[in-house]
Amino acid sequence: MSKLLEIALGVVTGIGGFLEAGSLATAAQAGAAFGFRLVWALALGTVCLAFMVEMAGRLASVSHHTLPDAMRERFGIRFFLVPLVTVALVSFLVLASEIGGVCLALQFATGVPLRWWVAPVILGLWLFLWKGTFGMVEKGASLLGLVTIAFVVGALKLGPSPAELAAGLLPSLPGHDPAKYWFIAVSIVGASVSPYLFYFYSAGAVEDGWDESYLGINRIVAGGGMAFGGGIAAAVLVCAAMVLHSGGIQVDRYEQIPMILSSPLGRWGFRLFVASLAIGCFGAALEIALALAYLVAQGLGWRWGESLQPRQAARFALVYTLALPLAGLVIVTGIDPLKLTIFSMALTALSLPVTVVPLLVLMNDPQYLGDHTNGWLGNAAVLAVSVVACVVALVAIPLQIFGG
Amino acid sequence: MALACALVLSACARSPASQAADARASLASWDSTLALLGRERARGTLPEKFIAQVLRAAAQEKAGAEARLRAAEAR
Repeated sequence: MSKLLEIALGVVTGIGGFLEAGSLATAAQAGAAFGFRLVWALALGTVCLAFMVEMAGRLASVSHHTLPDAMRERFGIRFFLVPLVTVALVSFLVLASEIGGVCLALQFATGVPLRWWVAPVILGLWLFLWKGTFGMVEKGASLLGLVTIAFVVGALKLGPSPAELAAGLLPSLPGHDPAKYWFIAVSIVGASVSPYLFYFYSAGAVEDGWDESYLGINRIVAGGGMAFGGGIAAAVLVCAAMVLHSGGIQVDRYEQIPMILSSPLGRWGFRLFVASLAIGCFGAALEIALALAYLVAQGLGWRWGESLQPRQAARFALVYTLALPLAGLVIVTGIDPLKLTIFSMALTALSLPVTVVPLLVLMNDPQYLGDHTNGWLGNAAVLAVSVVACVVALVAIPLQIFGG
Repeated sequence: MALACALVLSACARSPASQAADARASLASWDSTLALLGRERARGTLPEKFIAQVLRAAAQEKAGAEARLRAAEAR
């Protein structure tokens, strides 16, 4: 495949694979509650994600190590268990919220309660992983995810004021509900910088056999794909601000969100929203289940690879085979999918330093990166965003839980 | 550590007036949701199956907010 085509496909899959339950719910809540005021959090999370995805791809291209593999080798198994357990727990909750998102989309379309969809959805996800290849998971779901561009069309049709939108890029204090404001801000950062994304990306780079000749492609795919993907999440925020915030509606339930597209796009808006939610969450659930399997298998030195037959990497396949039904059980308990999604994202932000600091140490180690170690800008941007997001989450999460 | 936890938890405690204000805001938000739903229904942009789901969610959330409001006002 020509490099140009690979770049195009990489950017397109980055766009199509960006929107999922977390980014959709947090952007919609932010827009509904605070208008354009939280655009900056989305921009910050997207820039940080682009840096981290680029780093994960660079590590894989230069050292031919995946992230967990390099972490275990560099820091030893005892240290590695800390990020392993943290990322596994957070990713498990995010997986449950993505499964909830697919089930909700099916409930919206059919009227059949979401708990009845859990088993078929898990079976569908498992079959896709069991029978499919890495390319099918990465490209297939992401290409279908291009349906989420409907939010951009909706936002353009609603015609937001460019000046007000630009003003939202500058952080500002809210006039009301500061605890909620900061909680949503860290949830947005958590939704953008989910560790599963760069674990999945680094494993994909190794599966696809990237080497140093891919460094340019990696940079363009990470920067372009994430920037355009972040643009779709921004479009969700704009639609929510224009339809819900202006009408005095705050998002307490997923049921309120489809109207942000039916309002500008009519009957097709509802259909496109349901398709976006279903496809976005299905694709993300596939990636998270795989990222969990990669994390455990690579970290513990097992044989791994989505393109291998399950019998050739049995323990790797066992991880996603167990993770999917266990995550489905969380939804069956009747937990509110929106609350689960938002809290999962805030917890992701809280856990960022645990995943980011070892990554940065690796990215500055010439033994792994040779001449391609990090520059100061990448180090400073990622470390600052992670630490600030963690500190704000540490304060905002208890305020949100105990303050109602 | 215990002191830090105690400080955070005490900062989280909210007054009944603040809880009542939140409940009222939630009720107003759901009333606005129902008004928007009515407009979308009139335009025919949403299927009846979905409208029934929003109505059910609104009834549940409004009942919860009214209960929180009563509890806050009783304190």
